[in-house]
Amino acid sequence: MVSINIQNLEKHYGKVKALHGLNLEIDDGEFIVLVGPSGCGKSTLLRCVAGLNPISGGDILFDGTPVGHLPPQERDLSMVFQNYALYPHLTVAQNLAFGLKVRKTSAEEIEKRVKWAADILAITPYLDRRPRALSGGQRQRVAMGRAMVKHSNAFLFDEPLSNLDAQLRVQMRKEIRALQQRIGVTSIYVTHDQVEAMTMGDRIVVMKDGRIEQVGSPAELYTAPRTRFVAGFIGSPQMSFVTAQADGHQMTLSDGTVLTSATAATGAVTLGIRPEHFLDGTSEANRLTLDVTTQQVVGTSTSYFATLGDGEIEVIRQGSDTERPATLALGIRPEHIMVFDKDDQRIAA
Amino acid sequence: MTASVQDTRTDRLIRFGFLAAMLIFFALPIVYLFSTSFKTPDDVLQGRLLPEAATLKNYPNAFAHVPVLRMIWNSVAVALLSGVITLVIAVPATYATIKLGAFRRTVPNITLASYAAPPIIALIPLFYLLQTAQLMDSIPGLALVHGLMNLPVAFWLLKSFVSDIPAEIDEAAWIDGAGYWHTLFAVILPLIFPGILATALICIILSYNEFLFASALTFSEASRTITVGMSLFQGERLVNFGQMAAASFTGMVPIYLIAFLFQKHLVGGLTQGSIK
Repeated sequence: MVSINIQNLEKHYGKVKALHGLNLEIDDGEFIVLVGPSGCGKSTLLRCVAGLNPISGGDILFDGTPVGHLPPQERDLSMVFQNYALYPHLTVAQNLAFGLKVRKTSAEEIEKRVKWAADILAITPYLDRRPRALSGGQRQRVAMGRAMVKHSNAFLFDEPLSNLDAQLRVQMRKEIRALQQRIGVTSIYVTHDQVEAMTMGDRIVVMKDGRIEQVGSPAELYTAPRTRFVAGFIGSPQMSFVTAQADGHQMTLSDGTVLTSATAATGAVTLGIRPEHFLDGTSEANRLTLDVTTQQVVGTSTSYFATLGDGEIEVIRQGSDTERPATLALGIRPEHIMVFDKDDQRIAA
Repeated sequence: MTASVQDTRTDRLIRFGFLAAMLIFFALPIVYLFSTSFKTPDDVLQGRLLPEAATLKNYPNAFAHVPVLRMIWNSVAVALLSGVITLVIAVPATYATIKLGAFRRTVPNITLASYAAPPIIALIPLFYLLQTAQLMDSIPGLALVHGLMNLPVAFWLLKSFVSDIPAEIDEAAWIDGAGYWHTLFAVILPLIFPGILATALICIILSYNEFLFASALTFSEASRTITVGMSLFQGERLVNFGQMAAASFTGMVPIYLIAFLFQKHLVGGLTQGSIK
C-alpha cells in the first residue's frame, strides 16, 4: 500500500489536451473517487496512474518515488476493469493465480491466497468454472479477487459496476467498500455516477474538461461546492438553478419574486437550491407559492416540478403523493440558497 | 396450411436445385480429372467425359515417368515448414502492430501492397538471396520463400482475430505483471487459436499449390514439388494428359485430406474471427 502523489500531470493526444496539469495527493489506505461527466478525463487519469497511458508531462509518485516513466508491469498495481477483463480461456482459480504465477510466487502461497480471496468473495464453488459460465456479479467478484490476491501497491477501479443491474450495483458498492476497508489498500475509483461517488469515497475528486474542479469529502462537496458545476453534479436529485439580480442579501428573480439569501452579492447571479431543502412554509423562511407543472412518484418520495423565475425547479417531499396538487406553498431558509457569480464560482456566505 | 407446406416444398426445391448446381460446378473438374486419369490418349483426344476403355496404366506410368510420391512429400514438407515460418513471424508481428501500435498505419498497407504486386518481381532477387544463403534448390529454401510470400495473407487473416480481443484483456495481463511476450503466449495465443489454425491451413494450401517460385528455385528431385512435377508431363510435342491427370489426382489427396479434416476450423475460423 502506498501514498500516491500526482504532480502537474499532463496528457495530450496530439494537439488535444486531455489532462491540464493535475495535482492530487492520495493518502496511504485512502479510497478516492474520480467523478465527472463523460470525457472529463477521469479514466485517462486512472490509466496514467496505471501506466496504460503514457504521460505527456508532470509525474506520478508512489510513496515519494517517481513512477511516471515505468511500464504498467513495474508499478505493482491491481485494476478492476469495466468489462471485468477476465481471461476467458482460464478458470476462475487460474484467473486469480495468473498475476502471482507471473511473479513466480510459490505454489503453496498461490493456493493459500486464492483460497483466502475466494472465501472472502464467496466464489469458492466457482473456482473451476470459466468466466463465461458466471453471472455478471460473480465475474465482478472474480475481478475483485484477482486484484486482491496480489497484495499490490494500490487498487484502481475503472467504472467496475456500470455493467451490473441497479440492485446488484448497490450490493457490490457495499461489498467493494467493505473489502477496501478490510484490506486497507489505497484505492482510486472512477465512476460517472455521483451516488456511487458519494456512498463510497473517503474523498471525491470532481473533474471537468481535464481539470479538477474540487476535491473534498462527500459532505464537503454537498454542503460547500466551490462551483455551480460541482453543486449541480453532486446531489441527487440535482440542484435547481435560477438567475437573479442581487442587492445585498435580497435576490430578485425575473418574475419579481424576492428571496433572501444568507449570502450577500451584487448584480447578476445564479441561485442554487437543492430539491430537499424546500420546506412546508415556516416563519423564518422565504415563502413561495409555486404552480406545479409535473410530478414524479419515486416510492418513498415524490418530486414536484414547478417554474420559479426563469428556471424549472424540483421539489422533493417524503411520501407517495399520487394526486398532483395545483400549487405548493413552500419555504426556503436563507442559508439553503447558494449564490454563484457570473463565472459560476460560489460566493461564500 | 397447404400454402405454407407448398411454400416450404418450393423453398426446398429451389435450395436443392441451387446446391446441386453448386456441387456440379465445383465437383465437375475433379470428376473430369479423375475420369481422365483412366483414359487412353485416344479417349482424351475425343474429349469424352467418361473413358470408353478405362485403363489403369496411367498411374504406374506416371509414377515411373516422374517421382510423384517424392514430389508430394516435398510439397507437404515445404508447405508445413513454410506454414510454421509464416506463423512464427506473422503472429508476433500482428500482435505488435494491432495491440502495441507498432507501425500501426504502415504495416497493414505495406503488407497489402506487397501482396498486390506480381510475385515475378521478387523472383530474381530471391534467386540471388537463396544462392547467397546456400539455400537454393532445397526444401528449407523454398519453404522460407513461401513462408515470407504468405506473410501478408497471414497478417490480414490474423488481424481481425487479434483486433477482436478487447484491449482490457491485454491490459489486465500487463497490470498483472506480464511482459509483452508473456501476454502474447499466455493470453493472446490461446484466444486466437482458431484463427491461427485457419491461417495455418490457408498458408499451407497456398504453399502447396504454388508453382512460380517452386519451378524457378528448385531443380532436383530432392526438392521439386508436385506442382513442378505436373509440368514435367508436358513433352515437346504432346502432353500426356492421362498420366498428368493421374499424378494431379494423387497430388490433390494430401491437400483435400487436410481441408476435409480441418474444414470446421477452416470455415469457422474464417467466418467467425471473434472471441465470444
